[in-house]
Amino acid sequence: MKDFREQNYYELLEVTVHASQQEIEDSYRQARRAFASDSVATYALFSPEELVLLRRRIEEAYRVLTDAERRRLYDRELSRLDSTQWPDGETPADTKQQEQRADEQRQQQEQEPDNEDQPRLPLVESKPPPPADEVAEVDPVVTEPAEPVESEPVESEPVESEPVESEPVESESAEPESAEPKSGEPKSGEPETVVLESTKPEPVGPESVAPPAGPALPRVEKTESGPATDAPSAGEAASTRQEEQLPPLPRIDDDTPIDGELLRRVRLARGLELERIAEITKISIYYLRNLEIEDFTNLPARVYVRGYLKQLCSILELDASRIVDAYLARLDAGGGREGEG
Amino acid sequence: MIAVGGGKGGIGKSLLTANLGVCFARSGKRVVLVDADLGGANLHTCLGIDLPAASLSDFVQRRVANLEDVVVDSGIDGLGLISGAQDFLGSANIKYTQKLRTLRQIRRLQADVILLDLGSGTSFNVLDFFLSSHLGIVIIVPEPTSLENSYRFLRSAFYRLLHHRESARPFLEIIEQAMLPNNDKAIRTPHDIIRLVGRMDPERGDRYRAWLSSFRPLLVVNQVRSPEDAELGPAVLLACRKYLGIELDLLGHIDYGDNVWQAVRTRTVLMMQDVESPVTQRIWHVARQIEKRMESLEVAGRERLKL
Ligand SMILES: Nc1ncnc2c1ncn2[C@@H]1O[C@H](COP(=O)(O)OP(=O)(O)OP(=O)(O)O)[C@@H](O)[C@H]1O
Ligand SMILES: [Mg+2]
Repeated sequence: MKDFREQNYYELLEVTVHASQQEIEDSYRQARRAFASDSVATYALFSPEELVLLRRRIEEAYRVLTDAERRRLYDRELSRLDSTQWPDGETPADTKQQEQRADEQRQQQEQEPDNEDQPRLPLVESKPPPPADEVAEVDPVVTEPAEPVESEPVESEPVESEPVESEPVESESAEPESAEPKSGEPKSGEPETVVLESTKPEPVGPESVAPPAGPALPRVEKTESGPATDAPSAGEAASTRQEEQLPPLPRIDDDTPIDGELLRRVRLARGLELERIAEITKISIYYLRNLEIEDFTNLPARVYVRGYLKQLCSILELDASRIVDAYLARLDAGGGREGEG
Repeated sequence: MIAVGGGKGGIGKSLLTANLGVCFARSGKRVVLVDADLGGANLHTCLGIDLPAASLSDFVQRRVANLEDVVVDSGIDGLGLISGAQDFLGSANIKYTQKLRTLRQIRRLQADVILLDLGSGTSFNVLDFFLSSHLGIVIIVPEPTSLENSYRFLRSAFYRLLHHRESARPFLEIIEQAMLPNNDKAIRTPHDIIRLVGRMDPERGDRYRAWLSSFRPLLVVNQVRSPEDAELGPAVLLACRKYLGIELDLLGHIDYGDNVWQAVRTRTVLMMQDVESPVTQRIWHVARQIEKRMESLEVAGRERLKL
């Protein structure tokens, strides 16, 4: 979820690029109510100026997206800007062909109301957003510059104060002009440490030196760094007990299907919880879960999935050369939950 | 382990904790309610029982070694209570080591559901209990003050989460800045922190962003008196998402009912007496929603702070 100042029209209205007229209408009406000047919901959250800005942007988004021609142009502009933003090279310009598929997906989602973790904007969230500076300079839909923080030389260029309304395509020449790489800024000297569980004393004193990047493997047991008061008892012992009862490691031979279920079984055999893996790899637990349940529609772009799989293999002590490509082939074949549903 | 909080006092935290506890117990679960309101413990009153002799104080003061030993019978089948601490009144500050010890033992209680009734405010103790739970419920009532407090609560809880997970000094300082209401870095939302941190260390920024998207407190709107009030839930979801980037999960709303305070006054538990009223129906609905969330937790572990 981005700051609303950086959201495109679809994100602002929280609809997908395939959204129908009706969906846009509904979403717009809801947003209008929530952000009305007398709405209690925004109390103490938005400043009056921010509310005005947000309402203006929502109006804009509504006007453009409900006008077929303007929407088409806007879509073209969006996809031209960043084609990687759309998974599988699918761009909003393909909307027509995709509409049917989107409908199917919607139906399916309705049948699974419990799937609460569905992000509203999978298309957008799946992509690690570019640094805020870049967004501010390249994205023509941004109407206000992101607030400069500290004294970095950001956007000295006047930014269009009025939204690009009629012809977003005209802004062709919008080159990232002052896009100076922030190379001058030294990476902070902090060693990147893998802290599995940090137990810090309450009053934040001088930081105790974190252990140097520990073994990537998760068997590191939690160490109580604070003055431990309890003798380790049942709970701590439980992890040892669990290890004895781990399910057997699944055999992987030539005809073993390389799928999410296999990943899950190996993980369980290694005695690892998803949240533990998320902690170590910093991969969102949501994606880890989707890898296992093969919810392919809610995974990031392929290139990220590949990275995730490699990390996962290293933690699960699996041979990446066997797993990664095989799993990706499965993903490419478009199986997974969607196919079964 | 489920925490019930919301920042403001008098919005129905204790009441909902008690009544949800009854719902779960009625569904055949072993339930323990923990009065974690270290400032003004009164959960026993919502259950219509006298102040039990044993309480959390005994455990915290080490008069009792095992938390299990201060669980008392609530008089309702399947429902145990750890009554609130009475003797560190005003000091919502139990020591950090005490908090860790308490949390550890709470997690180990023999129960299917553990409900924590949190105090009001945004002290570190309240936030840590909230963050350590598998599910955290935020209650709001349709009043500006309640929303103001809840937004502050949500923001503080997320910053606190970052603070626990971060270990590098310069970033900790940014987070600590953010915790101050009028910080000189002009950090007002999680977005601001992520942007700031992302500039210094893009990968870290991404990590923070992932933490933000997996931070999903549950929301209940209480004391609803009109159809407009009932629409507050979705509007708050939207506002919170847009402004704070925090995705709440709306469990439902509960009507305002005279039978609610009447039950408290007659020292009975609403869910035990009145099975048909709109309020009771709503509470049942919320309980069922929570059960669904618990089921999906069992399927796939939810991120939770381990202190
Ligand atoms: N839905 C409702 N309808 C009518 N009265 C209600 C409702 N919810 C709560 N109340 C009343 O509000 C009062 C406060 O409720 P409760 O003690 O549960 O709040 P609390 O959030 O726990 O407060 P504190 O922070 O002081 O512990 C109670 O007297 C209760 O009867
Ligand atoms: Mg209370």
